[in-house]
Amino acid sequence: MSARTPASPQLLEAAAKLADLDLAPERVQELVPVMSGIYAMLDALEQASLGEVVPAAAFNARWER
Amino acid sequence: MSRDQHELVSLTLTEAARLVSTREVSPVELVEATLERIAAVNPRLAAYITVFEQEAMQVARAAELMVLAGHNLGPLHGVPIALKDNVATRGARTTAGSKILADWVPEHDATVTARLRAAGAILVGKLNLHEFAWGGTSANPHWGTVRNPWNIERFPAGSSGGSGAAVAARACFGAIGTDTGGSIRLPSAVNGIVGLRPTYGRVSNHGIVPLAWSMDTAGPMTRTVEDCALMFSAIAGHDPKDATTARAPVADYMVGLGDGLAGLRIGVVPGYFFHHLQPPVHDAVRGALDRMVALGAQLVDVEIADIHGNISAQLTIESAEPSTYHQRWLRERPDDYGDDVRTLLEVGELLLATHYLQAQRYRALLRNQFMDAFRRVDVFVCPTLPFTATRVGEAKVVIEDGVEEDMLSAIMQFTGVPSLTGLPSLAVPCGFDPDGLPVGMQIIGRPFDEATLLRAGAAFQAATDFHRRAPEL
Repeated sequence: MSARTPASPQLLEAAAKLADLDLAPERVQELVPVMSGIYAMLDALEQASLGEVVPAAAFNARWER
Repeated sequence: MSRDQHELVSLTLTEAARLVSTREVSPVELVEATLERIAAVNPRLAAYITVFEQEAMQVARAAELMVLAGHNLGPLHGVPIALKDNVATRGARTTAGSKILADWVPEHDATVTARLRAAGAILVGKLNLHEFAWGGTSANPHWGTVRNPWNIERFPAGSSGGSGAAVAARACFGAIGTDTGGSIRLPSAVNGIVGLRPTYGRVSNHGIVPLAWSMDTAGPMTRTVEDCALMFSAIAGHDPKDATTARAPVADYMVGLGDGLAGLRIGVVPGYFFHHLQPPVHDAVRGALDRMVALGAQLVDVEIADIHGNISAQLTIESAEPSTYHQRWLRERPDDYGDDVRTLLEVGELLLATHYLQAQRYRALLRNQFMDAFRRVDVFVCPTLPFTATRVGEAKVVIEDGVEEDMLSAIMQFTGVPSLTGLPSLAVPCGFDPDGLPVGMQIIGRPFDEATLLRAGAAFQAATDFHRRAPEL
């Protein structure tokens, strides 16, 4: 895969807008390095041999209570 | 009173329960001694948010009358127990360590609370935690920074930091903690006590303020493995109020504690679990493995092909799920969160659904790889965390070579595997560093096989004295 787009204020502002979350400019600045770290960690998941593995949190249709 | 306060609070939970049942100690004596101990240490530890002085004494007097009349409610009859303050208590404030829930008084008990009461436990108070259980330091901006009784300049880890500090300081005989990414095991390790993260679905989460639904668990934190088994027996089992609980049969966890380690196959993942540790942690856990081998266990080196992605997956899930739960509050009351928790909740809002689902796929992959490995081993043993208690207030930690690392990802380096896979994990004290700070190891087992973990932990404690040492406070 190509290198991930680095976290930037513009990117996070757009993501927050999509989430309907108001983030003041100073909050965005605080989040940039944090999200950079998170995105770097997400890259580690790309290395896993996921193949055809189904997500662990799959819908449970047993209708038990 | 034949025993003084120090002697009474130094009893183990099991000893205290036995002495109540034989009428050698009264529940009133136990509660009085515990309340005195709380009053003496809590100003320094900030372990309790709420103490039930009057209610606990009333219940103790009733419990005493019952014993004198020949009635015993259950295995915890008359023993003072405390709850992490994200566990609901009917008619008593349950804050989750937050400002947002500062005035919440639940109308019902959590299932765990109700089961402890039914077993005869006397609830003495609610314990401090990292705000909403979302963090590993228990530096709480609303209810005070919890401190480690072994050195009050050091942190107690978290998020069940109040539970860990209170049990270690003899300010209760056992406590309930909750564990999503390590929040029972981490404070157990750095406070030198025992903590059990049960198999996901073994203990009800009904009435517990959630952090991440698909990883949340509740479990006992005690001074000995025997105490842990006794308390676990009282809370384990299916709950119709919690659809995630399993119907798997509940064992008698007190049976088999003395069966020893002969023939137990211990899996070790040298390329991950014994890499990147502070030297005293490495030496203590390796020493514990040597001791377990001397007691009859055998070590098996195991490779888990995709283990290195576990922190990424854990942080992804543990970001997305809390942010979903907190979505409305984060928009309506953002300033009522502490800075660190607010940041983490905002981070979770900025992840994509595909990030979350990739993490859930990784989780299934890791579970499959561990289940394959359990054909060759009975348990895994590894450090609980790669370092001993850091100074209070530190956001970074140095593990080796003077390199500073982010606290949250460093602290969950080894606790992530059980959290993601849902496997049970028992934290057991296994040494001290040169500064006298405790070191803990994890024993990780097959799903619903807590009995084997408890058996292994009990055998280790029978041969060592780490759990008998007490902080001078």
